[in-house]
Formats: sequence, structure tokens, C-alpha cells
Amino acid sequence: MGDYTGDIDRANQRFRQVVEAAPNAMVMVDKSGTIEMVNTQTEKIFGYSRTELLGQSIDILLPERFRHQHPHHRASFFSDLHPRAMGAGRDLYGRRKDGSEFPVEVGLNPIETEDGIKVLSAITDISARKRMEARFRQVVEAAPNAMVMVDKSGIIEMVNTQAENIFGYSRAELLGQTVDMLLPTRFHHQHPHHRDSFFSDLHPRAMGAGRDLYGRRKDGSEFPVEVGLNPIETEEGIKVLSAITDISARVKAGERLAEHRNELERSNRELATFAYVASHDLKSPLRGIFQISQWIEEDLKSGDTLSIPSHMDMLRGRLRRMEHLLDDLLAYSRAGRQEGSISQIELGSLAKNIFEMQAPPNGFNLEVAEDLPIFTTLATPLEQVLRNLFTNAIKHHDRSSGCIKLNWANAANKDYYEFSVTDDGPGIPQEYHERVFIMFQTLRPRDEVEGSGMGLALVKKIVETYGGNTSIVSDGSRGSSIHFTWPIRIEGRLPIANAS
Amino acid sequence: MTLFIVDDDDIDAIALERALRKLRLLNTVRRAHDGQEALNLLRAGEIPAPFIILLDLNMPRMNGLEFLEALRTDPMLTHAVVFVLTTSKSDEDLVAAYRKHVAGYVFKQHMDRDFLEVIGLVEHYWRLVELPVTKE
Repeated sequence: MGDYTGDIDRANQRFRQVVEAAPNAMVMVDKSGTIEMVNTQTEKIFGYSRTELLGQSIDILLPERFRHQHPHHRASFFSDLHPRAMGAGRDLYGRRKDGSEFPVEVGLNPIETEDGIKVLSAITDISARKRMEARFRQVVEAAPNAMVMVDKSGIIEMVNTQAENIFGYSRAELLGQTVDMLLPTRFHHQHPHHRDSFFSDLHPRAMGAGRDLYGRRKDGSEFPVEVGLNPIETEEGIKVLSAITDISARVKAGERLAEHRNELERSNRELATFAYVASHDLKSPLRGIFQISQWIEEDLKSGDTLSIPSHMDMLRGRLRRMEHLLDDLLAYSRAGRQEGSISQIELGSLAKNIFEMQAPPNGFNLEVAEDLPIFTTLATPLEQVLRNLFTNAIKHHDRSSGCIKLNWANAANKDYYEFSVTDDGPGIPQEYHERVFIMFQTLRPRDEVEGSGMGLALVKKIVETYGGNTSIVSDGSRGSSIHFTWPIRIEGRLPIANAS
Repeated sequence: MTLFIVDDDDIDAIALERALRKLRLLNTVRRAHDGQEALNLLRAGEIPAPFIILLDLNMPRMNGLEFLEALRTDPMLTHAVVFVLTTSKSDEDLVAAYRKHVAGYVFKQHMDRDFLEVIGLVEHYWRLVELPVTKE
């Protein structure tokens, strides 16, 4: 019997020593919340001495605002006895003797004793951790890019002001929502998969290497982004902190650079073509003239004067051809530089004027669609395009009469009109559809149809200067239709050559 | 022996014919204005064999190099003897023409004498060189 009592005493003794040695504050209360035991840590963090605590209600360690709920919580703990953390999900605070509060974490353990069930609470002062968390939040807040922290299931847990700015949502609208709301809808279905693979191989990396990433603003608009991903270990498990940068400006600058590069490449190609052309097409009439002058000399010597008038005709023909080539080359090299100014045009009547100015032979007429648009554009280059198409249609017509039509449609690109000039001439076989747009290419010998081969090349160059494109529809047996697109709003599409 | 001139320029064609007359040569002369017309005439058997082709490079529709390409891939025409006669000084054109096995690449540099010399060359060539006989 005495031994038994001694054992219990020794066990009690050992229990008190364990409690005393614990690194956190330990407080044992009975069912009514009366403090029965505390350790030195408890005295330290709450500022009470042991004697001030023993026999008191546990409520003196709580801020007053929590006191009225506490008996209720305690009762529910006693009704379902198992060790657990107090106040899951709520922020808990302790109250020092001097009335100041501090954040705590509390673990609850039921203990069976001879005088009934007691609760042993382990209380940790988490001020330091809370301070670290606050500092972390400040760092995130101060970051120059948008920062968004999500948990494993993609729920947003933290954002900074930058994130609010670039996505257009307020913090309250973002927290607790899925991060998908910041993505264009078409990426939604892949995102969970990507997120899972990130969580399965945790290391900082850039999101979507090699893919173009886009963010989605509250108003539904999209913008290109770059995203850096960082795994963060927290009390509540691994989170991902993403740093999101809006790269619209960079993307735009890149596009502009590419435009300049294309323009340079185009003008280099043009120069190369020009050199080739100058050495052949310009030289050939010169050689002809020289040749004919020799024939005249030879034929005069041999007394053959009958051939002279035809030689002279040919000679003048070559001179005219030379002049044409030079004029058209000049026109081509100038095409696309801004000429004239932006004005409102009525395309139908403009086209009719241009057609009449060509002095078309009798039998040729122009039909324009009735609903041709009235819009504001650079009139001069558009006139040049139409003039060249009309001239071509008339010049290459194989009959004495013909009808040329000007129509329009909506282009595939909604920023452009698509116009078409259709003739009922001989048509252009499929295999020549590309060639006819090349400088100085003609489909018939110049001795048959006098032409520089510049018309369509010029049209193509002008149209492309304003971002449009050209194409031919023709079966090669009767009639051809030259289509070209023209910007509905030409502002901002002014050629690079002028801009600089 | 037929001289088949493929050239879009009337003056060059006339100049070649005048050179023939000056050298008192009575060969048949045929003319096409571009590669496509030349191919059509050859395939239709309109050019009496044996023949030598004098080919210009810069022509509408089908240019000289495209004509050579078509010629060399046509089993009936691949053996044809072709002299290129051009104003193109471009190395690329020259290399491309020889790659298609032309007999010679003549650059029309000088405005006089050229055609006489060319006709002289061709005349010597066909007197000394055995041309393949077309098997129909």
C-alpha cells in the first residue's frame, strides 16, 4: 500500500518535471477552467508568478473579448476528448499580466487523473513567426512585379498591389478564388495539370518555357506575361509564389523591331532587283538603239533606203521604252513614301474619275459597286493602285471592248477592306499568278505589248506598305480579278520610311 | 541545220538574221519569243533537226533558266545543244546555265560585232562537232 502510494507520488513527480522542462508554456486546468498547474515558461510569457495563477480561472490568460466564448469551447472539448489544436483557423491571442496581447498557438491534451479529467494546454508565443510573416508580406508587397501566392489546389492566398494593378481586380476579389481567373479561358483546362507537375518537382523556374503566356484582366482583355515560380514552404504546406511581369511593352518593341527588319530586308531585296534590272532591262533598249543605228548605216551604204523608216520607227520605240522604264522605276522607288494627306474619299466617284483620266479607248467602261465605302484614308497611294490596275486591264485586253468592275468585300482581317478590279480580258494562267507581281515581268514580249512590267509590282509594293496584300483570281481563259486589301483606318499604318 | 532563236527582243532576232545573211549562210532560222513558246514548238516537232538553240535568259512567261530546266527533264529534248546569249552578267545565272549543260554562255557585252562573232562561232561549231541524231 505504502509502495503503491509511493509509486503514484513518483509518477506525479515525474509528470511535474516533464511539464516543467517543456519548451512551451504548459497550463493544466480542470473541467471548470481552474488552473491547477503551470510551468516556469508560463510565468515568463504571461508575466504572472505561479502563485498568482494557481486556483485562478484560465480566463485571466485570455483577452477579455474571448472570455465569454471560452466556457462553451471548453465544454465541447470535454465532450469529445482527444488531443487537438485549439481554435483551428482562428487567430488566438494570449493576455499578459500587464494587459498586452500576443499571438499564440495552443495544443490541447486531455489527461486522466484521480480527480477526473484535466486539460493540459501547451501554449507557444508565435509573435516572432507572425513578425516574419508580416515581413514576408512586406517584401512581397514591395516587389516591382505582381506577386500571387497560391496553394496546391490553385487557391489564391496572397497578392500584392502590383497584382491588383495589372489584373484590375481588388485584393478582396482575388483572395480565396482560384488562380484560373487570371488566365485566358483557353488555358484553363491545362493549368491544373501544369500546377501538379510543378508541385511534383519543386524548384524555382520560369513558367511555360518556350510557350507564349498571357494574363487575363478583370475586363477580359489579355496581355503577354512572363511568370517566375517559386515554391515556398509554410506552416500550412507548400505554396507557390509566382512573380508575374506584364511584358506588353517588350513584346510591342520586339514587334516593331521585326517590322523594321522586314522593311529593311524588303528594301534590300528591292535594291538587288534594281541592280539586276538596271543591268538588263535598262541596257537592252540601249543596245537596241546602238544596233539599229548600225543597220541604218549599213543599209544606207548598200543603198537600201526602203528599210530606213522601219528602222527609225524601231529606234523611237526603244527610246520611248527606255523613258517608260525610267519613269516607272522612279514611281516604284517612290511608292510607299507618304504622298498627299489623309482625306475623306468617296471611292466610287474617285474610281470613275481615275478611269476617265486614263482616256480609255471607246468600248471600254467601268462599273463600280453601288455601296463602295466612303472613308478617310491616304488618297494618293490608293489612286495610284487603282490607276495601275485600270491601265493594266485596258492595256492587256485582247478585244476592242471590255468592261472593268470595281467591287469590295469584307477582308479576312477585320481591319481591312478587300477591293477587286475585275476585267473580261484574256485572263492570267495559274502558273503566272505570282510572277506578274515581280518587277519588270511581262507575260508578253515588249515588242507586242509595250509595258514596263512595273504595274502590278507597283500595286503590290504600295498595298504591302500599308500592311495589305494582293492576289489574283483567274482561270487563265477569260477574265482576271486582282484583289487587294486596304486598311479601313490608315492612321498608325503610315509607312516606316515616313515615320523616321 | 536549224538555228532556233529564243529571244523576246525583236532587235536581237533581226540582228542574228542579218549576221547570217552577212556571212552568206542559208540555214533555216526559227524564232520563239519566250521559253514556253520554244517548248511548245520543240514538242510539236516544229523545229527541224538537227538544231542549235540560241537562248536569251530574260524573257516573259518562262525565262531562259526555266526553259533549260524543262528541256533537260524532257527525255525527247534533253540532248539539245544550247548556247546562252544574254546581257546578264550575273554569276548565278552563268553557273545555273552551265549546270544545265549549255554548250556556251555568251555575254552580249559589246554592242557591235557580237552577233557576227556569235554566228561565226555557231557556224564553226556545227561544221566540226557531231550533233546527236534525234531518234523519233
